Amino acid sequence: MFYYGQLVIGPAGSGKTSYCNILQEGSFKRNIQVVNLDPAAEYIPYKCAIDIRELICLSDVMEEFEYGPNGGLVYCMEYLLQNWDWMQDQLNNIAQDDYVLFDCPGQIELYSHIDMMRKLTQLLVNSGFSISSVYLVDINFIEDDAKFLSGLLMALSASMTLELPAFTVLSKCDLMKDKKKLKRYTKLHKFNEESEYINQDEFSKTYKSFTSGISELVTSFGIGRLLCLDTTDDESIDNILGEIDYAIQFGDNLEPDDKLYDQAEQQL
Amino acid sequence: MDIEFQIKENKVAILIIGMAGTGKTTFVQQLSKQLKNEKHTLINLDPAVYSLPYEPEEDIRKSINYKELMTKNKLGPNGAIMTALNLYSLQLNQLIEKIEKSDSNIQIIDTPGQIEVFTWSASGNLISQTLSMSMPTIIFYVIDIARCQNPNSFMSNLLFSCSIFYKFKLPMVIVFNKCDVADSKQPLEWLRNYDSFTEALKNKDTYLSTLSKQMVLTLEEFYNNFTVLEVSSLTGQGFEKINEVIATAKQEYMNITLVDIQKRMNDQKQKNYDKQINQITQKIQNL
Ligand SMILES: Nc1nc2c(ncn2[C@@H]2O[C@H](COP(=O)(O)OP(=O)(O)OP(=O)(O)O)[C@@H](O)[C@H]2O)c(=O)[nH]1
Ligand SMILES: Nc1nc2c(ncn2[C@@H]2O[C@H](COP(=O)(O)OP(=O)(O)OP(=O)(O)O)[C@@H](O)[C@H]2O)c(=O)[nH]1
Ligand SMILES: [Mg+2]
Ligand SMILES: [Mg+2]
Repeated sequence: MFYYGQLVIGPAGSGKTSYCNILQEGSFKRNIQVVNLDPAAEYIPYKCAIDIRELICLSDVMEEFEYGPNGGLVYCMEYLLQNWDWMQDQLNNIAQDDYVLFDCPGQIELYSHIDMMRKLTQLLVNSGFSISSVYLVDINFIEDDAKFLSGLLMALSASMTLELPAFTVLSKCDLMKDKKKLKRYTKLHKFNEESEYINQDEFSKTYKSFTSGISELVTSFGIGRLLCLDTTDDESIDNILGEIDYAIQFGDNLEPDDKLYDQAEQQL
Repeated sequence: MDIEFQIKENKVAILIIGMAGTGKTTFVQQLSKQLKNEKHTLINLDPAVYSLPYEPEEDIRKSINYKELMTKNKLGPNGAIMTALNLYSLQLNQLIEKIEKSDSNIQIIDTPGQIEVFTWSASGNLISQTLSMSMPTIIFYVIDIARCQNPNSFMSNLLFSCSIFYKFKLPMVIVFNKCDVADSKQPLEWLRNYDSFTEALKNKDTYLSTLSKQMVLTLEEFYNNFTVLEVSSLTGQGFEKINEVIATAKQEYMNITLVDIQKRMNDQKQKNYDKQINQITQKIQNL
């Protein structure tokens, strides 16, 4: 079996659920199924193909075991991993050419602190999934350079643990009216060279070389190249999907290569 | 006219930040023990903690009932923590006044395990900013060394701490906690000896290997720029130089953070600090 899709991650409130919903509602040349992996989700706007809450739900766990929210969430995700048969059964109902979005919980601990999400991704890959991670960064992170870098570092910290093709998407771009500013931040961004504060701010001066090293790492990981998500603009979504399709080799992208390959083989 | 503000140079506020379960609360307890010859105040800002191993002088739970917030306002656990912090930050001035009047030199502040709540909320911002405008303020970022066992999670944790650093722009000390756990040697070796990290990546042959050169450079910069403590909050090992470490971080605040704060205060464009604070406060009140 072979499946394609995205693991949609990012901090609480970054717009993961809305993104999944918009993709499912729109027409983007694919049949989109959404899997809810957030045991704490309260309201879900999209049609759920699979819902972790049918297996286990956070409020029950918190009540039953008197866990705090974090402990409870960790318990739920562990439970899912231990009961992967359940997930596998559900996944078997998904058609081969469906495109699957996984709407994930936002807690950063699940990524860097305990490598639970990595275990989950490995199970998905073993089940035949070709997926990328899509980390959503809220547009309000482009307030100033330091905050932006801070947001990207969070993205890198989470994405790198998953060992998947990683994409960073700037969400809620419809809220940004200053298009010039948007452009400045979404271009490959070298903080050290053109930072607006460089000559005034003692902090930037002191940590200049550190910042430069860090932003280079962010950039070389591909995290620094941001894709814009403007839910009022289908083109921005097409663009995101196009980039990801290429990375996970979904759809038509594969066929020309196959033909070329066949031709080459015949010639030999 | 310059806005007047007076930094209490003889004091210091230490924010203890870290992911859930890394040992922040235990660290506070141990730090208090280690600093027993200094006048210090313990402040708990975690509204949801059930029991504490230390006696805080200031406690968010005294004025805010977390459970009640949840049931009365039908809030989820994270929402309730956020609301509790918001409510508390409205009475922040009283706390600051109390600290300023007291003869306590060191304030140790325990924060909630929901790291995002403190880091990215308006109230977390307000608390750290207000503190840093009143006295030298530094961050101790706590990492659980047992959760850094492969190059992947190790690097991920370090990068997250960098994210915290750029968010707060305050002097930061990295605390590798739980070093009493037997397998703490490896990650510490990676930090000190970059070649061993490259070697580890080679062995694992993950796709991170392609980035290994860049990461090693980052590691080097990281080690050069941050004070790293290797401690066990349980046994008390690794705290020998704690006074020195606090003093150094405090000096960094004086040389860097304070200079920027003063500049900001004098800058015509940004002179509206009070207005900013008011706006944040307003926002919180509206929530
Ligand atoms: N303007 C605008 N608002 C958005 C957009 N996407 C999401 N939001 C708003 O942001 C808030 C959070 O969106 P969600 O989709 O629930 O975010 P999430 O990442 O799933 O949040 P959690 O599940 O809590 O981690 C909601 O109030 C949305 O209405 C967007 O593209 N534009
Ligand atoms: N072995 C060992 N265990 C530790 C150490 N420090 C803390 N712990 C244990 O780690 C667990 C969590 O410690 P806490 O101090 O409650 O951690 P915290 O960061 O305050 O947790 P939250 O407030 O829930 O986020 C407890 O079981 C502690 O006993 C240490 O240095 N060594
Ligand atoms: Mg959601
Ligand atoms: Mg605690």
